[in-house]
Amino acid sequence: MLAALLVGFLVFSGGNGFAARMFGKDTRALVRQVVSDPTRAAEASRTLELGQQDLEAIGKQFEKIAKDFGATDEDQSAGFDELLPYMQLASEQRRNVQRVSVDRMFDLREILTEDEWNALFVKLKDES
Amino acid sequence: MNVRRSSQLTALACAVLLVPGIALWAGSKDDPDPAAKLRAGIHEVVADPDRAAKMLAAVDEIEAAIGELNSLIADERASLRVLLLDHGSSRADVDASLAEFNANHESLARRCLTAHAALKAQATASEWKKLRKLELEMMIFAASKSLGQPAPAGKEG
Repeated sequence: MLAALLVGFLVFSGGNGFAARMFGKDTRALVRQVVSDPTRAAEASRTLELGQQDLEAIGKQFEKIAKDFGATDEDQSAGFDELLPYMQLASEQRRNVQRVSVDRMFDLREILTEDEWNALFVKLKDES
Repeated sequence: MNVRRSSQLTALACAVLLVPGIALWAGSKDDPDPAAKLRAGIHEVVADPDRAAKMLAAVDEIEAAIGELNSLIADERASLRVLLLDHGSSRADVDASLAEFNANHESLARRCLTAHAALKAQATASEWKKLRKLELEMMIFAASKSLGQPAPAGKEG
């Protein structure tokens, strides 16, 4: 279910699996099924593709933060003050992920009619 | 640092930085209990009862924060689901929901990080050498669960 996937990704941020599924080709194929107008279907598909690219870029940044955190944490003398900046960076990235994901979601919602939107959710639920 | 160790550290970092993920693991009755192993490890390797008590308190604090995160995540998932399913919901509503979630999330993440740092600080170098692996396994287990991947079953390190 698209909402569930987005919610999961928003909440768990680093979950690339969520991003891959939400902005993956399967969702794009479903969009083409529920949107009969080829122009809007292509626009919606492009929106999902852009979302995927956005999240891949943020994911790489997050991965670097996580690795840097791990390297710092390996030193037993690294305490809260040394580790906090990484947590703050990760929080910032999480907010970025949320913003980008919601941006794309609302872009998609503007492209789809309410019926198409609902149909997409039904199909995604069936597929999951 | 070899690849496996690097990936473990990354998982640990994810677990600590993305504390909500840990919440999926907390409270499960059927899963292994890496926190119990960590506690047992503290009892085993820390002879000083005062420091052992402080370290156990740190583990307790992590678990307590995880419990609160469970509730926070459940509430946020429910409210976001409603907002996103509603074709007429406003962006401001979604943003407000996420802003509140993030504030609470960051507060709980800070608590977990504080407890993690306290745990490290109380241990001697030799104790930490033994306990670090247990804490790492606890965090990797939680991170794996949060990302929907099988929890590691083998020994690490």
